[in-house]
Amino acid sequence: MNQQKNLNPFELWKDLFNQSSTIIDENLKDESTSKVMGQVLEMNLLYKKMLNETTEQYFEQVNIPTRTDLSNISALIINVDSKVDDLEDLVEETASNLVSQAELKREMTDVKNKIKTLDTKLNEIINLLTKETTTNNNKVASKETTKIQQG
Amino acid sequence: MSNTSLKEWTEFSNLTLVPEEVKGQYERFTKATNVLVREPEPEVGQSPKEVIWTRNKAKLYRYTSEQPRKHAVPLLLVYALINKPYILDLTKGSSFVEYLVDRGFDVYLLDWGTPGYEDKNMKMDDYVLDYIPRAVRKVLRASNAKEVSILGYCMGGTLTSIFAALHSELPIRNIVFMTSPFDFEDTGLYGSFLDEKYFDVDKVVETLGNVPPEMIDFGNKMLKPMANFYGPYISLVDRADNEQFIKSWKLIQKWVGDGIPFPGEAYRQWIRDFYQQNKLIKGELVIRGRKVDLKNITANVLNLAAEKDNIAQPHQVEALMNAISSKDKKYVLLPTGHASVAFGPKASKITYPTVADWLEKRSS
Repeated sequence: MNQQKNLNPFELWKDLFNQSSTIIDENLKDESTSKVMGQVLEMNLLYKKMLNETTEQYFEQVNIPTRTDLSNISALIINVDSKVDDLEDLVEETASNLVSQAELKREMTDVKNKIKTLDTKLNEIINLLTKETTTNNNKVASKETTKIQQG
Repeated sequence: MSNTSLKEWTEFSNLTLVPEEVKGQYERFTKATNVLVREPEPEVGQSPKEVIWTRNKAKLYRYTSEQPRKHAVPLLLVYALINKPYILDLTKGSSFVEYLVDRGFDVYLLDWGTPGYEDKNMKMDDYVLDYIPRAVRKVLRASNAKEVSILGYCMGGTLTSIFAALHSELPIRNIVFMTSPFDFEDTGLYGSFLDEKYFDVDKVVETLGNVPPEMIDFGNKMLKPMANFYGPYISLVDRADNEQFIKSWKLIQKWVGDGIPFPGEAYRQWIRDFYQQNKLIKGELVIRGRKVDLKNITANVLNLAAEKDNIAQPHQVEALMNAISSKDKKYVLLPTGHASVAFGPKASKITYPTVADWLEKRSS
């Protein structure tokens, strides 16, 4: 089959693009590119600075708040916002500490109760032991008395 | 093109004389033009979420789901200061957040918000010492967990490393760094463009206040100008008959072209301390009077780099491995680029499972 290829401007452009792309990428590594970019930036900044200053002066003369004035007010609001946020954080921190204090208190009460129970039990044991000892002593004493009387 | 001429052309193109190839080209051009000028921007960041904390422009989101939470350790996502929060939640079916939530993670995201002119004095110090620690405490409180995992994407990972090094008292169990640069000794073309001899960062910040996203985007695109400025449009025309490709193309273009201003003082630090003086990896970085020592990082670390990444090249990412004290640490090189690590078919097939599997084992 004999296929005739049509002229395709897009494909042509794409080839050109690919070739120029490689050349440009290579040239970018050269120091002169950075130098030119730096100069272009500097020119733009100079123009922008001039524009900023002129606008600012004009606004001041006609008594209209400038961008700086508005941003100063915004900065004040942001400072208040930050302080409120700091306070909120402090409150949350304190609240969580309070919760842990309450837990601590509850645990202390538990320990106290347990110690009280132990104390009561110990007292009971001591009482029982004392009673036992007294009974034993009495028994021994009565036995000895009987022996003496018999002797 | 008016409706009449369009109709005429359509009739003409239907003639048998017109070769199929030309018809195909015409259709692709028409479709590409439609995509560029008529079709609406895609909707992004649609995973359901609630705001649990705000400060200045920053918000902390907690993603809600009907899926049960299976893992005890919550996950906080931190992204770069120059992006929008939806980059990790691009679209349904191709969202990192959605994937993690579906795998049973309790996911939070720290949205930096869009800084205004009044935020031009915001420094990295503020983000690292005032915002991230507070967000971590909020996450711990909201989830009632004892420990937390953090995932930092791009510059978000660099910020996370500084935060983790300065906050050894916080219970950080796992950290995932996703294409985050740590060593700035050899940054390729960035190094040439940002050379102190030609790039006066002080002048930039003093004149502009905040650095506009267009300037940052221009700098990123200049790494490969033809491929970045014109490449996407060539691909669009080339593959305009593929609906799935068009959908992804629109999403990625929205992502790339929808940056936010870089707060001036933070930009000054980022360029001078990182790109021009490489202080982080050398242990010379000082944040609010405190020296940042990466050796203080002891959490489990998964460090992901992308093979085709020009923004955070693999050697810049890998450098972290010898700088930290973590016993459980892993470096993985993924076959993706800087954006495709987080979005697209490779991200869905490789990145998401790599992160989730690693985290799953360390989140009980």
